[in-house]
Amino acid sequence: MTKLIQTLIIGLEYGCVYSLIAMGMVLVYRTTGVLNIAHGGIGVLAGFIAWDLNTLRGWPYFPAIGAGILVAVAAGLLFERFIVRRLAAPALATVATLALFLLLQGLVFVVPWWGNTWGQVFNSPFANKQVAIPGADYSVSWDQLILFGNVLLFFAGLYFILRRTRVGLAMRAVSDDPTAARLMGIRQKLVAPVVWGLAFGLSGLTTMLLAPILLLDNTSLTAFTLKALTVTFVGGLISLPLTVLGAITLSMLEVSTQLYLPNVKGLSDAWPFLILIVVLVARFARGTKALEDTAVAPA
Amino acid sequence: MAYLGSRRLFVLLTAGALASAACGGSAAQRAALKVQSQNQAGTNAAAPGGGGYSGGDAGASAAPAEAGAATSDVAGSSPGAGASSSGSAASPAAGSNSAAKSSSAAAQPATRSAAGSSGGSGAQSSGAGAGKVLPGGSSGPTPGAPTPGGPPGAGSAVGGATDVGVTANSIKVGHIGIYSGPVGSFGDDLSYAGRAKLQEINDSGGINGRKLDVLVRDDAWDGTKGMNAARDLVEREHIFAFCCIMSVNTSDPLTPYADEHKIPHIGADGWGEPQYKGAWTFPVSASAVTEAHMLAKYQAEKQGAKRVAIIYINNPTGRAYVKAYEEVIKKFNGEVVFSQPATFDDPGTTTFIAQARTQNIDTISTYLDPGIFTRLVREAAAQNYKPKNAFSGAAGLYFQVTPNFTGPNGEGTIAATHWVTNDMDTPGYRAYKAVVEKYYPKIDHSTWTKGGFVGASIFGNALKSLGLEVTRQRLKDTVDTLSNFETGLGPNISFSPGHHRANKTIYLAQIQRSGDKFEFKYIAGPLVDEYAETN
Amino acid sequence: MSTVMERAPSELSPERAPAAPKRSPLNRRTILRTIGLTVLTAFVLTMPYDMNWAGSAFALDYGVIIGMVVLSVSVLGWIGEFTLAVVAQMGFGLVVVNLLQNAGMPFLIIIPVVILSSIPISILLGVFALRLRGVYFAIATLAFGYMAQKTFFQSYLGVQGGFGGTDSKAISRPAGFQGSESFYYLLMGSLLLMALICWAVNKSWIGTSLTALRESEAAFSVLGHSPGAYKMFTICLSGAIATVAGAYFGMLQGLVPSNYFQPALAVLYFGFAVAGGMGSVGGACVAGIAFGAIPKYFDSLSEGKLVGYDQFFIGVVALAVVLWAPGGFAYIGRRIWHRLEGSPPAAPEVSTFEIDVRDPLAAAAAAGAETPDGAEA
Repeated sequence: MTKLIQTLIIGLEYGCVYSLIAMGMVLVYRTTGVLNIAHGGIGVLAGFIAWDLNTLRGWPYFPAIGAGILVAVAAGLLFERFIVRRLAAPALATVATLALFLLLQGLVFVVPWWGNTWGQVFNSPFANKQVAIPGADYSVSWDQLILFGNVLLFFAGLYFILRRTRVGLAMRAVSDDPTAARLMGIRQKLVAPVVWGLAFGLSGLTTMLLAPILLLDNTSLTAFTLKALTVTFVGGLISLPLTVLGAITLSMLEVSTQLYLPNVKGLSDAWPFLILIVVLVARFARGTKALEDTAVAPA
Repeated sequence: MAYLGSRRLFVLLTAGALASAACGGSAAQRAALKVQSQNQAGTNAAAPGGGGYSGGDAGASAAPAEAGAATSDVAGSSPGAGASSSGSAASPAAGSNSAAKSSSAAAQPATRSAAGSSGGSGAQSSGAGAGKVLPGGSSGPTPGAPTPGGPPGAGSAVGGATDVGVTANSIKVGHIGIYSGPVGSFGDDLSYAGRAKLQEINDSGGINGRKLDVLVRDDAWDGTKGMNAARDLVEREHIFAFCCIMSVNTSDPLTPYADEHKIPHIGADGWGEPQYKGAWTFPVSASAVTEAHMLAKYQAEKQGAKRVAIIYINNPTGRAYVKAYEEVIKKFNGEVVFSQPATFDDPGTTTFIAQARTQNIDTISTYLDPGIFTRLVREAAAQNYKPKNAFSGAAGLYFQVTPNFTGPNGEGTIAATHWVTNDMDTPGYRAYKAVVEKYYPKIDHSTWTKGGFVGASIFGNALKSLGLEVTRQRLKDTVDTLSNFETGLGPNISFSPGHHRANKTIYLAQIQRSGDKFEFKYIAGPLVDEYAETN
Repeated sequence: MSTVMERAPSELSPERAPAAPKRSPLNRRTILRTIGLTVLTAFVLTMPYDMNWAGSAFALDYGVIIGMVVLSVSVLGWIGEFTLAVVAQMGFGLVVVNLLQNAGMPFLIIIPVVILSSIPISILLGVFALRLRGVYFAIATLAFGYMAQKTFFQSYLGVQGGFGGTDSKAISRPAGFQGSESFYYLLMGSLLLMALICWAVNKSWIGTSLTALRESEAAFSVLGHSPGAYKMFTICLSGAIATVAGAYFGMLQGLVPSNYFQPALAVLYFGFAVAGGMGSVGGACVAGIAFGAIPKYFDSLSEGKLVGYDQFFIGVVALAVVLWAPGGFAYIGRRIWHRLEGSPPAAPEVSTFEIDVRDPLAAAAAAGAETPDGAEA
């Protein structure tokens, strides 16, 4: 029983992390056609700024993480304004995000007072607080509960924005048919900043939620980003619900393999590839033609 | 076709030109950096005698008086690591080498204190050849001290450029440390202790009139970067020898390379087993295998450990750790129930803890750095879980940052170390601290700071015992017959050809509460590994 | 080389040099080419010694190997794809070398076997390429690379700065090439051979067909060609180069940790390929050597003080290239060349600059390459 609950909770925890990252990437991809490789890197920057303010400069926790997320949003806006907009092709912008990712990941080692370090302890005020699960010798930490809550909130919020607001309508219009959207008077220049700011902010938020559970470091978010990227495949880089489903499936499979089949070495790491093959076969069986990028060129 | 071919080639050419232009621009930068590094060394040093780098003209001229004073101070307070140890180092040299060498070796203690007051002027002597250095060294000594190195005429015959990296007044030494990368924040301390000792040797007059020119490189705890640095030091900078590299990821691959090029590496970290296979590599700290043996024995005997889980950084050293732990725990009817590899980007600590709980584990042993270990402990706390015997780990945990990071969750953790623990107030440890903290006051004393210090001490003493005829082969032969070198930090060090496993001693320390802080406290040792291999 | 040069203008391939200069005097061009070629040959031959002031030739050896890897990424640009599996392919090359050396095989047999051994994995990836395009193909290669690193390489090589191979048996260099300088000549010779083969393939009917395939896959297959065969061929070529590069990397390092073969590194190499000019043979070689060797030289020039900064610097350079020279080094080189020759600046070549993987966007990519041009004018 305990083992099952463990599997479910840990699976959900990592599923939430993959979901948050994958949603951010899908959001950018479907509206701008850019694969945002820098997603993990932005989180690292935001996390270290928040840690800097909180630990080194004595800011209270919430203003510090707020500032970190704001920096991430601002970085998104600046990146869109000064770099993405200058590049005609989304593929070039994809490469620009790659460059940004390298730059940001390296930044941690460049800022001298960040201690030239792989990781830092960045506790939330809820550190060491748990909720015991009745009937099982197990507990969930407050930090984990906050992570679950945020994923739900964000998913609902994004769904609401896309379905019920004008900005969301514009975003969907642009992603479905940019030419038609332009003819309808929707301006990519207004949609793009919103998307980039939102995505970068989301990456910052992910770090803030993750850092108290793990550590604040400059590599694990990258590793998660790579895995999340394989998850986006499930939703064809378009569907948000399918992406979340893929994320939770992947992490459940990984965790249950590790806990129930610990002797099958390597299986848990093969899941992204195996899922990919299953999705591919499923699409093939449905007669879908070769999966091709349908995203569009911005104006 | 040809047009295109040459056009493409031209692209190559242009980029090549651009590249060399870019690098050319940095030639000045290189010089600037060199000066900066020397200045840095100078500012790090408590005494301005920090111009220990032979090229540091600026520092050297200011140094002599104070350097001399500082040195005699240290010599006075460190009988264990100082004069007496060089005496013991000299005896095997006397046995295996010629009489002339042994006489210069026997003269070392006197030369050393003498050089303290005169070494500065000796080093300053403008562009000194061997003939000039020698009088410098022999004119200063206290009356009655035997004159080292024979008459000045002989000096020009045996002194000078006796081998690669050796000139009349300097010996180029290569040192690679961990100054950046995943463990850079505390990795830099690992090499500061060895560097402090080398600098102290310089400040006290150098090696028979020669100064140690220490070239420092960074490997970021990455063997590919470490080997790039090592090859650069050997093939371009033409160093004489490596000294006290405390990064297992560089020391391991450096071992076959050092054998191939016949370059001595005195004072390797010894954590990885490959280092014991090298004829030219002389590890001073103990192997992770020895740590695992002693931890397993202690935990089985004293804590009743029966069901153990191990998480390890998946390199050969880590795997060797798991195997060694398993071998010994089995002798006590225990077992390693499961083990799991970890990496920095994906430590897998969450499921490790979950599995430990379901498998009813009583002891978790680790071969990790403080970062991943902290993550492990936090994960356990979040899951409201702690095994009966808490955690134990290889020397990678024995840093003050570990209890700082883990806080109360890490209480009870046992770590292995190869030397006396920081709370053991032995005279040798005090002497070590005096030297190291003189140059680097804020150092986090760990297993490898002590190892680096011992390595540098052996290196300095062996070099001194060679007299003026400093060659790689003679250095190797001397260290190969080192017997009972008194480190003052626990185990004494002896080498013999083909048997470089000099340190098989383990001390254990435990994270305990001390006021509102947590610190490692001595709990056991010295434990000598009876299961260790004999090479 | 010089014979190639003398056959100059008659063999200009039209799609490669649309703005073939006619106005500039031929003798000036000939002189420039002779000088350029001589200097270049001299430079390539003496490079390890020329750069000795900056660092060991080891840095250059490393750079040349990265040049091979980047070439392998760049070649896939011919079919409009990008791969994130090159690093995994390198790893397999290294493992094969280790196995063959343990079996006592000589170098001259090892390399052909390494090339052959690359084919099964290339075919596996090729199967994906038949069903997936663009980013989707890249993700598939990423998942493959991730699995390879985590399952196969970790158990075979050990992780995170660990050095192993089987029982810590280091991979050795072929006899006569033990030194960093001599090894450079072996590597440079191999890289030039690879570049020559790629260049020849690109010039041949295969290259023409690949261009046609990239322009319109539908038209291509309607005309009776098999897109699959061409894609498979290109992927095999790319895979062979990457695998050989991995074999050489093993020889360079001796002992290699499996964490070297992480997919994130493939993302980096893709960035290098773009900086070199996706699809360009020369650009890829230059970018690889530059991005591989220069940080290593900086490491030794700065006496190790810049080791922690290389990622940051590479990021800055890559961003600058994307912003100001989206066609990469190939484009910059071409512009400089035309300026020297006194001919009008080359029109951006869609085929070379098409880093975009989406067919409808080929034009947009070209437009992207034009942007800085316009800004300067």
